[in-house]
Amino acid sequence: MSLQRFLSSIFILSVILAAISCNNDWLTSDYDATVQWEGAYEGPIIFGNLSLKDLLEEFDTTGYVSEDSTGFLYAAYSKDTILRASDLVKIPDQQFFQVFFRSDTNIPGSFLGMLGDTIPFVQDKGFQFEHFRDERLDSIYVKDGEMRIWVRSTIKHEGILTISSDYVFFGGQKYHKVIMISDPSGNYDTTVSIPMAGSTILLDNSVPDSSSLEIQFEFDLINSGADILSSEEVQIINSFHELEYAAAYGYAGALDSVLIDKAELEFDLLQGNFEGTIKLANPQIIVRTDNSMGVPFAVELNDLEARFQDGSSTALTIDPSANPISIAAPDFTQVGQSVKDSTRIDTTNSNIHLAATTDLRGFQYSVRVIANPEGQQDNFILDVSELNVNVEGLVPLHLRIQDVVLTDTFDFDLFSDEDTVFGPDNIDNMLIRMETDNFMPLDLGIQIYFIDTSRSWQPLDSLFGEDKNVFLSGVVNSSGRVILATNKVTEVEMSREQIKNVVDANKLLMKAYIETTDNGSRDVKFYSDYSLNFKLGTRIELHYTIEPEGH
Amino acid sequence: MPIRPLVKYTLATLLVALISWHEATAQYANTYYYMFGIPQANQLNPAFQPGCNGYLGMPFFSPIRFQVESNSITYGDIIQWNSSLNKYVTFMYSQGNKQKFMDALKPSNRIRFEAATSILSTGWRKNEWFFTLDINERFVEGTTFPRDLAEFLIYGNLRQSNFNLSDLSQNVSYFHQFAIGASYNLDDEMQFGIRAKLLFGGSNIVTKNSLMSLKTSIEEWNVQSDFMVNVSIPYLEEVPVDEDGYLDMDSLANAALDALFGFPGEIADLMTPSGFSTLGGIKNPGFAVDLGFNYFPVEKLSFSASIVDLGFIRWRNYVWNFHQKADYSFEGLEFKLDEDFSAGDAVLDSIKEQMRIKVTKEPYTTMLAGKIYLGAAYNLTEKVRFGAVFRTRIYNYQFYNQFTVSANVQPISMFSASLSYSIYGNSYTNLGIGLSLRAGPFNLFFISDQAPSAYFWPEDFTALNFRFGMNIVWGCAAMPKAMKDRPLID
Repeated sequence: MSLQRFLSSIFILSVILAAISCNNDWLTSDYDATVQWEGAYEGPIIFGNLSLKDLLEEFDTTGYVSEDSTGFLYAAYSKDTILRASDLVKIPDQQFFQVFFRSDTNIPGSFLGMLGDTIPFVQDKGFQFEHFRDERLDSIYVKDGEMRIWVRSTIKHEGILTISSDYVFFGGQKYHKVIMISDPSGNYDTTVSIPMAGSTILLDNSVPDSSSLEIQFEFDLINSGADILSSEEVQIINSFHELEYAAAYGYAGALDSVLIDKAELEFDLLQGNFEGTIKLANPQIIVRTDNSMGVPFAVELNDLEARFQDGSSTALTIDPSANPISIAAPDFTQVGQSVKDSTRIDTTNSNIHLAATTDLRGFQYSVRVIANPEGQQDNFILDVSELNVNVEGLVPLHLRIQDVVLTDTFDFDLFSDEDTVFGPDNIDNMLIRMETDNFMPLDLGIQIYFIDTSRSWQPLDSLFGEDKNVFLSGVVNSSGRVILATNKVTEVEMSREQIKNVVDANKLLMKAYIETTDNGSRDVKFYSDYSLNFKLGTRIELHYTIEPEGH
Repeated sequence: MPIRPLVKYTLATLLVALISWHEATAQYANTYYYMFGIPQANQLNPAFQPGCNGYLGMPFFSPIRFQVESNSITYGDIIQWNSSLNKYVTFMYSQGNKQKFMDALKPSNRIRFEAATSILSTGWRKNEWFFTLDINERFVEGTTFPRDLAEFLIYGNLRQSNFNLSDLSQNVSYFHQFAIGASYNLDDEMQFGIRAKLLFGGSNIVTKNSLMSLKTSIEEWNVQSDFMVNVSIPYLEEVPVDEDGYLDMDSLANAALDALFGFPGEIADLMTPSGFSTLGGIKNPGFAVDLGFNYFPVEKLSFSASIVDLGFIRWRNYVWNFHQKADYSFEGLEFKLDEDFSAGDAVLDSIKEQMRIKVTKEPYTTMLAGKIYLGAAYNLTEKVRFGAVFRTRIYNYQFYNQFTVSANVQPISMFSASLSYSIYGNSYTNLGIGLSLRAGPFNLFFISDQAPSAYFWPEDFTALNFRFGMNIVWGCAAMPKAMKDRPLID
């Protein structure tokens, strides 16, 4: 056999042998294309940077919380009361009555002179000017009102009636009104109306306890020769109606009035359904006044009580040196301006510390106002003058919190969509990691209970274990201010059983445990630049199985 | 020449090839490089002249070839035998060996797929010249993924937190090839060949400058990326962009296909110069050249060398460039007290802003993966030949090497066969087979570099290829002529 044939035969034989002795197991064996993926991932879920300012803007819907120039926060609840000028001084309607020729006997016409003669009759009198209370005004600048002059003549003569006063001015001119009585029939009756706007009335207070206005009446009778019977006369009523003043000068009187009667200042910030106590370090009441009346006042706080969450109350007393509060007034160089003043009632001048020791709900108070407490003196008052009394309950966020527990429930429904491809059964293990940076003087613990309401609200599981303090208080200096944030990492591992409990729950019961630094044993202060930073991440082990169709 | 010196020469050649061996990570159908009876062997070396005076390939079947290859993972890494279950399971099965799969991965892993068919393949002899004409349709796809990506997808980010994803890339090309070749036989001692190819790009997607990294922790995930994807897709007329020239993702997500693509509504619209131009890839021209050389120093011995697919395609039609450069960190959804603030929307907006993709329409060029062949053959007899081929493929500035030794026989004129053994990379179990049958004017052949080894050792194979062809041949000699008179290639 030639070499070529030998090699050819060997070659072909090799191919055949290989073919018949092939390993064809991989063609005939069973295959399972099931894919079971098991992976573990960690990553961030959510983060937040909450400043105290943001939190307050969100939850303090009433806007009661403010900050001072240093950023120190305080809650202020206030009420305003206004004493207006018209409450202090009013000008009652005035009537000045004058009569001519009233006598018991007839006056013959011959006594009146020659026929056609003009005979003057003059009455110059100071008329009592009525006041509202005990004020003794010496000048009134009228902005509105009416002067009426009613004249009735039953004498059978004509005449000229002149009414004037050196103490009433219209547009800078003395009051001088002439009325022609031109009906000698004895049936003359007229009413003249003069607007008082822009007029000035000067009153005479020379007689103690009275004010008078001098008016001169002159009746020039034109003799008709008729007798003036005893039943005939000339009647004049010069009256002021609905006078409104633009300014009034003089003594405004001694007003003594309860401006606010047992009002309540309630502190919403401190109210809520929670256990534990919040103790305020320095609650205060501030009385602020804004006085544009040229009248000094005294403001007295009465019936002051601290009201508490349990319905009880404690009377609060203020040192006599601080109550009543003298309110300054603008002087005569400050007409049209206002003077502001304030007085603080705190632990230095009262026993308000009694309100700081328990759950303060608010304050009750009454405000009594006394005008001219030092006695009679010169005042001025404009129509726009007012005394604004603002009573403010101030709760500086300088406090301590002990054992406060806030509780709330939420609807909860995880993995409710049964059509999802991926569900809780795919989770083998989960770890939740919370990292917090707390720049607040608060220890905050959180516990979340997973509740199934169908099982009598039985807690199925809880999220945190023993260590539920998620936020640890920042480092606080001796004055109660946080100077350094505290970092805390909390990890919660959840097994499949726990995950199942979470999925079965339909309610979350969340409890927040709040205490200030050092278990609430010291007072801390809250500033607007405080913040809470948190980062939530998770580490999750998953599996997912894909089975081929027909498997 | 006596057999013993010839064997020495052959062994020396093999030894040199082995010594100069570098990483071989890809393979090609080298089995038929020295196989008898395959007219289209000149596609590997344009200098080759078949033993017949002419041939005409069956349209679409001469040849049709297919190959898929991996530079790292084997079939056995994916499908594993479980003796306790007595069945094959995937590596992702609960009792599969994921770590075996992971250990098989390299830092950069490539899976390449190529398919081609000849619409026309013909050649004819004219005296000492042999001319060829080929019209081919070629599809090439290459996916590269980093090991870190598999680590992330399979295991997650607990074992490893930083992932270098820079090697993630995708390259897909479909193009038409018109090739004219000529080979000259010089005194039966040397043969020189050249083939010029006109290329017309049909469509292309290529990733360029891919830089991507992912750094993870329980507190933050950070993605950095800088990559560009160039595409040329026929009739892709509209890509929604905003006023700044960035991809409008919202519009893209809601856009119907007919809003993006301007496909002709009727066949008649295709029968236009523009239609032909687009379908024929005329606006995406390219050029490549093959060069080859055969040398017969002594009787029965030959050396050959060739360079194949040295060329490029310039993509100009329906071109879009997508460039992204991003550095995005995700720290979680942001919690804000503002009821009008939506954390999800904020994250989406942030992602959209950071991960914007710049869209341009600049032409670009892709290179073909050139190949270099070095071969030596010894004709033991007229019917038995031993060959050795070293092949390297140049792609993306890297070399992919393959070494094949083959034994080729043609016991009768109508039948020839070849057995080969190849080494690429760490894969040493690659047996190939080639069969050629000629009945009268009809020639039928089938070649695969791995089919036998894939059959016998399925767990070890990283690649699979086959070549199948049908030709009409004429003027074929009854038996291969002796060396020195003619090249020993039918």
